[in-house]
Amino acid sequence: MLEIKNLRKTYNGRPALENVHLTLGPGEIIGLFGGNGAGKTTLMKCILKLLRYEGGIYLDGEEIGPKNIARISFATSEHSFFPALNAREHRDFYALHFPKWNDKRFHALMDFFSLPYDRALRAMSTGQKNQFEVILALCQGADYILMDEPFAGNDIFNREDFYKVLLGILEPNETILLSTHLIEEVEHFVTRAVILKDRTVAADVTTDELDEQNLSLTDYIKQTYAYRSDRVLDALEKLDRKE
Amino acid sequence: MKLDSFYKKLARFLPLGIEARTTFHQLCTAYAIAAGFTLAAPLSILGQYNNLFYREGDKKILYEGMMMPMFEILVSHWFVLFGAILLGCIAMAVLFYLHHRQDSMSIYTMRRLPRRRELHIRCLTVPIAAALVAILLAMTLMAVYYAFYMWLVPPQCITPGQLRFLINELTGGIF
Repeated sequence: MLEIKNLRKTYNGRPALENVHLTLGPGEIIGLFGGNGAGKTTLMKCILKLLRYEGGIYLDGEEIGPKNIARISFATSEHSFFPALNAREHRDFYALHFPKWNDKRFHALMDFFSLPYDRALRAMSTGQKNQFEVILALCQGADYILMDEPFAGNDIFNREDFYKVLLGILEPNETILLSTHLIEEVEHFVTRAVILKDRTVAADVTTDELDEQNLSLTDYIKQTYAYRSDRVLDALEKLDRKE
Repeated sequence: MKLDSFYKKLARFLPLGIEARTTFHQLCTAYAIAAGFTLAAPLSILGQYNNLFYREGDKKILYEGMMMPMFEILVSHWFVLFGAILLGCIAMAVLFYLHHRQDSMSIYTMRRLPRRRELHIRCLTVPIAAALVAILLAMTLMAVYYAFYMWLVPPQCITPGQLRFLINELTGGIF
């Protein structure tokens, strides 16, 4: 269980996250949604202790530190691999540092995406880089896999492949926290949606609850954000009047 | 083969993606240039030594009351490149940290490793070791040149307290 209690993060005195309470259980696939600057990336970086914060983040009751950090992995659109290294060298490094490294899954995913083993990452295409970034996160042997816009730059076929593979390979105890703007695409993939708004958790709902309310995830997020679908028409009308 | 195994071991103390062979060659070149530059120091001692004498036919005669310049004054500026190496080592450490933000954010991976010191080991070990080697090499060369100075110069031409003055200068007066 990953518990976030009363998390607060500020940048130069300006709050980026406030009063965030969240619990992620084993086996969940959670979509983390929110507008630009809502704090999705900041939240993930706080979980990984890449940023200082106030409040508490606990993994099975223990603070996150060197003892349990290997239980959390991270795939980011910024990429956290080593550009000069090839896939084989990454494998060696990760296997050395992460005791539960899943070699079988690594080779299976490398084969599935037809990624080259001996080409430096910097020489790969953006799509391949994203794929490899996610492969590393999935093979680290982590129980909690954080993904921050991992498919930015991938085409639709690539992304759909990803979702299918993810659903096929995930163990029941593996939890995914996926931050993305591609709501429609992940609607049938996630089991729960957490929405960040105004620096805090504005909504936290399971997809089963949405089904009961007969609401799509996209509509639910629009409701939460008080989205005004008529604002485009208003703006166009105003422009017409000026002309 | 032995060199290959050395490079492999060295690579464990360098950021991933920095070539051990290239780094080692660059450091060796820097040491060779700095050490080569100090060869001017014994030449400078020899030049000043010759000034202690005048010639009468084939004979070399020592000027009365002529003193040899202090060893430290003759030699220290020829070691300036070792100072540059030390500054280079500081820059190297900074560049090694920045390397983890170049073309990707591999710093995220390094900072979430269970072995927390890994990042610092890979960024600081080689620069610190390189600085220590530079200091050791400079001190060895200085000791050799000092021995040469003391052997060459007639005792009556040597200003007393040379070594104390040298240590004082090198340590900034701490001792």
